[in-house]
Amino acid sequence: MSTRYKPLHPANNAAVEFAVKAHDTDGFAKAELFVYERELYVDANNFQASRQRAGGTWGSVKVWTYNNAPDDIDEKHSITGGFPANSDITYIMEVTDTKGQKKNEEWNFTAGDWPFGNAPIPIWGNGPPGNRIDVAFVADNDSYNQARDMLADLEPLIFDGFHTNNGVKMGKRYWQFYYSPDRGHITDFDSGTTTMNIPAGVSNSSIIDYAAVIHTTVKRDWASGGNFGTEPTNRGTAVHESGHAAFGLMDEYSGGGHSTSSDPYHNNYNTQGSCQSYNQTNGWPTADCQNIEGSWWRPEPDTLACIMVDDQDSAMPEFTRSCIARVIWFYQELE
Amino acid sequence: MKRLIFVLVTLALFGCNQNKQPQVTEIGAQPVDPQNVAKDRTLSKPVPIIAVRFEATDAGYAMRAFRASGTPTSKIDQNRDVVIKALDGQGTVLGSVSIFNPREVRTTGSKNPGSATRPNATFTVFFDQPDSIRNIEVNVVRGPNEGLRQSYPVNPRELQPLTDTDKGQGNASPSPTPSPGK
Repeated sequence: MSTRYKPLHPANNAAVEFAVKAHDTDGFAKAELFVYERELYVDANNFQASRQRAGGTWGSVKVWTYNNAPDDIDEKHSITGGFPANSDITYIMEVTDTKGQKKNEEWNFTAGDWPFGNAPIPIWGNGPPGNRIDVAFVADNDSYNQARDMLADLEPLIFDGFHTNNGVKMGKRYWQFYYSPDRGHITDFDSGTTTMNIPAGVSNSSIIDYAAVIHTTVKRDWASGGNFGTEPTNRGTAVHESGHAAFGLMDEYSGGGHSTSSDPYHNNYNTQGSCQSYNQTNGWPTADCQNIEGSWWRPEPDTLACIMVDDQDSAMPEFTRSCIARVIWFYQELE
Repeated sequence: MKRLIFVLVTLALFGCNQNKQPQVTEIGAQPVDPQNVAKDRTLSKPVPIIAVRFEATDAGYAMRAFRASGTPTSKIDQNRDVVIKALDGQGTVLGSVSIFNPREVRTTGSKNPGSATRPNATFTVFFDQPDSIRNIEVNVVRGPNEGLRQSYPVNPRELQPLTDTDKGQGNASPSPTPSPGK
């Protein structure tokens, strides 16, 4: 089951389209969209909060019923009047198969004017930031006249990029995305200067785990301190860099960054013996250990084509054996 | 219980095929009740925190600390390049986080890799229990400033609020001592 909405961070009273795609070999009997509308405000503790909006939408807004029990559904529904300024929207997409089994997803996003200054604006999430991977996108000022102009590029990056990667998809609920109302900038690595301006609203935000500066001008991008720059179309690169920033995975290619880790599951070992020992412990062939460069070894062969050995730019490789084990371990730690 | 579920899911995933990536199965997903959606919520469930901001240069790490509300930095990965610890007056570690070296630069992706060192970089980490913290320790394990170990005293009563301007009033540390190593 996958669901999405558009446009991201819709403007005041702009139409919002909700979509769902799902597959079930038992066939579907029903799908239903619920929308809950809250207004953003600052509560008595001076915290960003939201409360049910008087007169706002609250509950079921669309039901699809199926008499022919299709195995696949692909539905859309628009709320043409959108939502006013200061809106915090929750939506639940629920599907029911012919055996009565239900599955649903709940997501939050904000709509209309954002009342909290330069704080990162939530565009996709469902839980407390302390138990999530919180990513802030920053519009590069050499590519976008205002931050909102980036949103159309983020939609495919998130839903056709991040959400199609095996590691992200299996833990989709752990990922939350925001964008900065202020723009930033990253220089081209080949320019000889390495300047990355992350707006204060992001760098001062305790909820953000890392930031990605998005630009449409072609650059040789770079990463530092967990933050990185990328074109929005280089989805594989964005998820590869997230493999570093979110999961602490290292590069499996020569010339990349290498280090060991004492946490369970890793993809870099500094001796052949430690790599083989790791594979043996996990029931994987010791012969799979391959030298990366120097003393560095990867425990999974490059034939598995992990995204940490080749990011494939605009394509979307998968996290493979050892890396996906790390990803699962990380999600466990977030609980 | 949640951890047991994770272990079971993990075992199931790896039982499928040991050489290929496991079959994608969404984990951690929990059904929600459309009839019981919270009418009120806070966006981030903030707690009192101390914001510890470092400026890293060849000369070392300069630290300033601020009082704020928010979410403590994740403690899950303790193996990144720079380890920062918060200690109480007795030297007990109240929190430990690690981050990638803020001055190290690596080109993104796997093609035509390159690296460089930034002359300076600023980063901020967040710890809870701000009123109990008396010292911040930094240990640069890898990369630029490798080998740097430094302790910074903190007086919670002097902590000023975190503002958006990096030049805001902070709990300034003494000038950093020259770092060993790179």
